[in-house]
Amino acid sequence: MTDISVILCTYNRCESLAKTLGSLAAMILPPAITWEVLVVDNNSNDQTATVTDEFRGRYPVRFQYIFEPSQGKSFALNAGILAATGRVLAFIDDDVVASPRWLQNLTANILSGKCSGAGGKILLDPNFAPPAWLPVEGPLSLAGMLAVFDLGNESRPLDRPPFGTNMAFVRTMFEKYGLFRTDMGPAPGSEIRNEDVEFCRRLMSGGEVLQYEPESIVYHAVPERRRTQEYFLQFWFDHGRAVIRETGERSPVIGIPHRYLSIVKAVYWSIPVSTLRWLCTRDTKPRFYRKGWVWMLAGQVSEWSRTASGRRTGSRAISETASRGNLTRNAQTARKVIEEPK
Amino acid sequence: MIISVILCTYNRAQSLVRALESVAASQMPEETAWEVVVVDNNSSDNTPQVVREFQERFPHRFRYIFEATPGKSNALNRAIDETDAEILAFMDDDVQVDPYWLRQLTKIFDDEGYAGSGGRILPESGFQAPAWLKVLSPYALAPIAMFDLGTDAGDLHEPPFGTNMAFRRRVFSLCGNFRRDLGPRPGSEIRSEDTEFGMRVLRAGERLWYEPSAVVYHMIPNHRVKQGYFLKWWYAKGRADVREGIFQRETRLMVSGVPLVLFRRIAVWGTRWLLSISPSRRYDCKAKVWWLAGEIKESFVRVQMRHESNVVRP
Repeated sequence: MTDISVILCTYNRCESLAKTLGSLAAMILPPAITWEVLVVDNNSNDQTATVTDEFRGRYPVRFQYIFEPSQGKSFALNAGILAATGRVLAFIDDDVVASPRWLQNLTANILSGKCSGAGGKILLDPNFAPPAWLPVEGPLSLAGMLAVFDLGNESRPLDRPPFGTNMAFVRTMFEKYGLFRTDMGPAPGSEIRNEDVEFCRRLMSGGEVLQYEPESIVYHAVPERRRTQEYFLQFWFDHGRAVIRETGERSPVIGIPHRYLSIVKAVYWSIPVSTLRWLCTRDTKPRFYRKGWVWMLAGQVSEWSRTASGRRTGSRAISETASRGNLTRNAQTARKVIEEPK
Repeated sequence: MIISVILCTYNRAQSLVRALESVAASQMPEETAWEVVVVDNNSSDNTPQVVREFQERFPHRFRYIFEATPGKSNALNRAIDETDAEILAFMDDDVQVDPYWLRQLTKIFDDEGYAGSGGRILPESGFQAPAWLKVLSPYALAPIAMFDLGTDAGDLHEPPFGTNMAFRRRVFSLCGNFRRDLGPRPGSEIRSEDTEFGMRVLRAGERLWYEPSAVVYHMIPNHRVKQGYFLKWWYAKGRADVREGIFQRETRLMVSGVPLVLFRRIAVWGTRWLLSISPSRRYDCKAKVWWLAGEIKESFVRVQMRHESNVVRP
């Protein structure tokens, strides 16, 4: 039996796939450990097969190719899990580059039986030059909105789910808790993610220990569309909504539902003050951060007024439930990085 | 910015494949031009085929140079002369580099004030220091070429190691190339060509940068984690130190070219070794004795050689 299977789902991204596979080919593992890489092609129509073939030609047993015609990342993930022979299954995406010790550090504690799963560090591609308005360091850092996962340098049990581009589990976890939910996970025409977080939540609520492995590092590319202000403002807005959903309804004051008071306070006080603060800031980075803060408050107001008007009916309710996962995840990612501006 | 990565190799085709695979996976900014120059130092195995395979897979990325004169310094200097890149980075054939190693090691060169940089060298897989080895100073692990000054970047005040360093080309015109009487060669384990060069650069008043995110992983064969290997290394280090000329100004009291102070020191450390109880303390003292023995041997050899050449010359 193979010790480790790395499952890599890809869809029409052969160029960055070649980089990912190149970094996997340079992995350092102790000679006693056997491992394989399963590239699950999720119905791509670009050069994905050719790129994979090149690696299969050079490392015949190490790299393997699976074609999954059902569109959707969860289908591809599950196909990979069923085809994998490894005792430990590790997951990586097609838009990251792994450091040479990634796999060894991610799986060592799982192989020795210390934990049922693990999540590693996800850092920004060091070649990414952030635009002038984007703070990625210090207390105002917005790196968390770019799917960075960095909980420091200490290995410890995770208190939040890791992300799907850098996690691993004992195979038996899938037998015990089931596969990834196919109604989640990105698919063409749908940006609903969260299949990874949902699976990890199942494990964590089942009492399984997932270990944070800070020495297991992948570097995440920043695609063009995430380099725009719109992306970040949308993220702030969604975050504002998610925060309200998570905290839920507060107790009414003298018979008036709390949300009405909150709306009044936000519209007549928090938003004007924050807008003024944003417009009075000249330094581009804090200026953008404060602008985002206004967007977040707007998101909160939108969420309050939504619940107030009680418009959630029929098909809308379903799509809301589905996108809820996405929002919660955003909230989780952003919680660490979003603090009240001083 | 144009960067040449210089990699000297001698009869290690197997680990060379892994080293080249890792450096081929390097992620550099698109506007940076870079190449890998493999200097085959007279290997008799299938090194040329390995390099040719990479040349085919990655056109214009890999260059092959054959240097027939054995000795790492010869190979290094040959590559320095044959390339014209502005930045020269150095790695060995028994390491694997992080995908962002080259990028992180060379990013300091955007700052004109820095002449060179050095990164971290970590063991390839979970290295356990044996009981006799206390890892207190960064140089305690020098025999297995580990170099780790922590996770804070900053000015580097000691010479970096040859498997993870980069310099501007102008430094070589200013301070000269690697010394040919140092550096490993078949039949000689006297190294230090890298640190001796780094010392020269520092003494010339140039600034070096320590970049902890530039990581290479060094293969450590089991036979190197033995006291015997460490002691041999310290002996060779003592010889290299004398070749570098550390006693030039220090003393005039000598017996057959050997400074008297060395005999005193070796007696002191030898006594300490015999009187120590804890294994790590015993090893520390023993390593000092071996190091001093190397210095004595080399001082003696140098004077003999000078005598011989004096005899021959007239």
